[in-house]
Amino acid sequence: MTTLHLIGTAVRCTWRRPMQSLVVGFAWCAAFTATLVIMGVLQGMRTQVRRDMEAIGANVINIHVPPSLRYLLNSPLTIDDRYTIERSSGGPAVPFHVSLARVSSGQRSTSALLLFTEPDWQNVVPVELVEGRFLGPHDSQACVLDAAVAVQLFGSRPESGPWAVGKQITILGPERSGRFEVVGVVRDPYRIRERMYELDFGATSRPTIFRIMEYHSVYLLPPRPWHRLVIHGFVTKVPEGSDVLEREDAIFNRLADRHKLVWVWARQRWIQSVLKAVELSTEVANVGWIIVLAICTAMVFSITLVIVRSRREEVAIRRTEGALVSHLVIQFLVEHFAVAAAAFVAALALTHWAAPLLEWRYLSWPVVLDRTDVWSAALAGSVAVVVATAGPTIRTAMLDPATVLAAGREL
Amino acid sequence: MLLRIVRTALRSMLRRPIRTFLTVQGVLWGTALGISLPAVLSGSRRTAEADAQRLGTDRILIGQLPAPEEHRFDWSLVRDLRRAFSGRVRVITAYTVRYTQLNIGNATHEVPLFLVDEEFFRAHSLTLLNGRFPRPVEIRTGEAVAVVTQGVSPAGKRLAPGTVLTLNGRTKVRVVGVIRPFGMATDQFGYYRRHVFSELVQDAVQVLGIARPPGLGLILRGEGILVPHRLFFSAYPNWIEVRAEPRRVKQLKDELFAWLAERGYEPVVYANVLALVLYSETIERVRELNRVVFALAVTVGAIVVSCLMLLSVWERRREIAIRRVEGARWWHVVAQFVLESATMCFVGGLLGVPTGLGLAELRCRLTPAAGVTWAVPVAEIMITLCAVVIAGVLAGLLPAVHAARVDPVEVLRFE
Repeated sequence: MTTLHLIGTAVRCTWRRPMQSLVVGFAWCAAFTATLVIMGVLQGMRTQVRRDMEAIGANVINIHVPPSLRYLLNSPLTIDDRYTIERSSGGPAVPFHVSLARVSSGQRSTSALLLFTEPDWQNVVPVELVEGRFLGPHDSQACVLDAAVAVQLFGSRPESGPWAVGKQITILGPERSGRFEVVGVVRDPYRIRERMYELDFGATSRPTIFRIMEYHSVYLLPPRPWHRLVIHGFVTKVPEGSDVLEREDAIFNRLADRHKLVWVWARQRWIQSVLKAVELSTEVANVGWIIVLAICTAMVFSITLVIVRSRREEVAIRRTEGALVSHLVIQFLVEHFAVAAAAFVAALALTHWAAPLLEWRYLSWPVVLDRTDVWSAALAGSVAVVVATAGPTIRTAMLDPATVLAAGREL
Repeated sequence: MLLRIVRTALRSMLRRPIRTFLTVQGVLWGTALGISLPAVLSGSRRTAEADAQRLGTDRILIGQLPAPEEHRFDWSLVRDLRRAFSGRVRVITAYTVRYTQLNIGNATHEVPLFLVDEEFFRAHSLTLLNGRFPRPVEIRTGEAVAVVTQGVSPAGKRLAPGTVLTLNGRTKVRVVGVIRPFGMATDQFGYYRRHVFSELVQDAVQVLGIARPPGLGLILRGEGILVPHRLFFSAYPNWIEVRAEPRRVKQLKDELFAWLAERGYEPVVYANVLALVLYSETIERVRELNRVVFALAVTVGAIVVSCLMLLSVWERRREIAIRRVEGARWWHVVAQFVLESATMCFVGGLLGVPTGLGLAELRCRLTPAAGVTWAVPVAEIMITLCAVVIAGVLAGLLPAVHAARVDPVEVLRFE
């Protein structure tokens, strides 16, 4: 019996029993869709976090005072350090001063970080504006909001029309109070928190200086010249092609030479740590699709058992005609692989259809299926097909043909 | 007649144990999936509320990083805070935590010292082993009284009420009560400190740049000597503790932070992670998603059951024909198959309940957040079982109608 003959028999059998093929195909389709969706959700989360993290600037170095109120009030940094930092980093450096404040608009209010800086901030830190513009040199009574603050003060961004630009907000803080006009809104780089903001449980347990990384700030021009204001830190950008970590060391050493003991850290380090944590958690979560596929395989196993038993007369006749157990197993495997392959294609289509739905209603990130995931799912699916088919087939093929034929078709 | 139909249905199910088992296990997983998440959510919410009932509330802890004197928390700030948040929180207490030298005999030991206000004993659920708690008036007037935790004294020396202790070699206090240590098995966010995943949590906390003001470790341990803060005039509170209803914790946490930030302080606010998540919008969305997945699982399960029943009808055509020849009406056959399918789904659903609760237990064990527990979600179980049985009836209808159409003459002649 040639392989071609076996495949021919298998394909014929698949067409001859449309109901059985449909049932098996449906079960596999459900199993593969669930697997692909879980994989896509996890992969999407990983991709989105990577994108979010890269949006905060992998080539930016933060230089700031240690995280304590003592240093916020009496910083060792002065505006003269800008030149030292720029020489060590090879790029522009921008000073900043931070303080916590309550900002409000009408009935809505929130606490936010007031980030006093220069218009050049946007040339150092990647700033993507969703509305308006960044601060200009004469915007003493204007401010720019991070999107997270704008959402809390003005609600979600409307589909069309103005959102926050042109509106007035009230700031109540130790450093600066009064009414300010919003001239721009900065896009939230952490898209992941769009629908899961409350899960950011550490939001109020970070020292003020670390809050610049929260993107929950109000950007303002400094109220006084820098030499009359405590400078809490600088941000600087390393030119493309330079080693960020090397520059980080250089800045630290040059400042230490000037007896300025401050924290110098490349955002790249933090990005790598967060990404490592995300990788680990998604790897753990990947157990989910394995469990789902295993349960579905058990279901298909039960269906296969029924199907194979219902065809045991046919199996017995083929055995009497001289077919080996291996021939029968291969035939059933080919049948099931053909059905499973069609189901896999349908599952891929279903996943593509469900992805935008999930993103629209439940997730803050897109469902992403890369080639590796699809191949992994196909490979795992193939193993599942073998497990769900070979067992029942071998069991039935091992039965004595004479007994089966004598007993008739009743189970 | 109905009894006979039920008996026949049950008998035919028992006669095909493998098929029955395989069908039942499919339903079982669907039910388990539908029940496990509501079990964890309802259990955790119940625990959070029970804790609130027991302690009077849930906790928001406000600390401060080292700050110059003019920017430190002070007792008048605590009074203002009480006024500003009156009616929205149960208790606001403030205390100072630091080490002190305890002189017993000729030996000197370093022990944690809590300088507390009059609300401290109301805000904590303390177990008195001996003696009494200080009276509010004693705390207000700064009497030299102390409450000590069991075991705070060095090397087996038991401190009994009436003992006079010398703190820092000069301040004498009289012990009025002995209490159990009031420390917690959890960290500042309510995560178990000895959980298998605690290291992962600590790593995450470090990466996120979470602050850890001095004295936090002592608060979590909850051991030491408790004396009225007025005994030390120079003492300022370095911790403020707020107790509030669990469902208000999230909002209050943000408001307290904003209130303090507005006044130029740099607070570090901790709250139980679970309280923030349990009553959040996100969890409602997760519940909704779970319902959608359950509905899909039931639909898929019903279709699979329906297909299996169809196969069963096809195989049992001779049995159906004989029953029809013996006088069974078409609706008897329909009832038998519908009943069979519904019973299998019901049994699968019943078995799915303990499986779902088992999954919930597993989920709770894996989560390092204390307070993540499960409870039997009675309403969800009822709804799930009803949905599963209805799905079973619907799944059995098509095969049953197919069975009723079997022509006995044709089948028996062929056979």
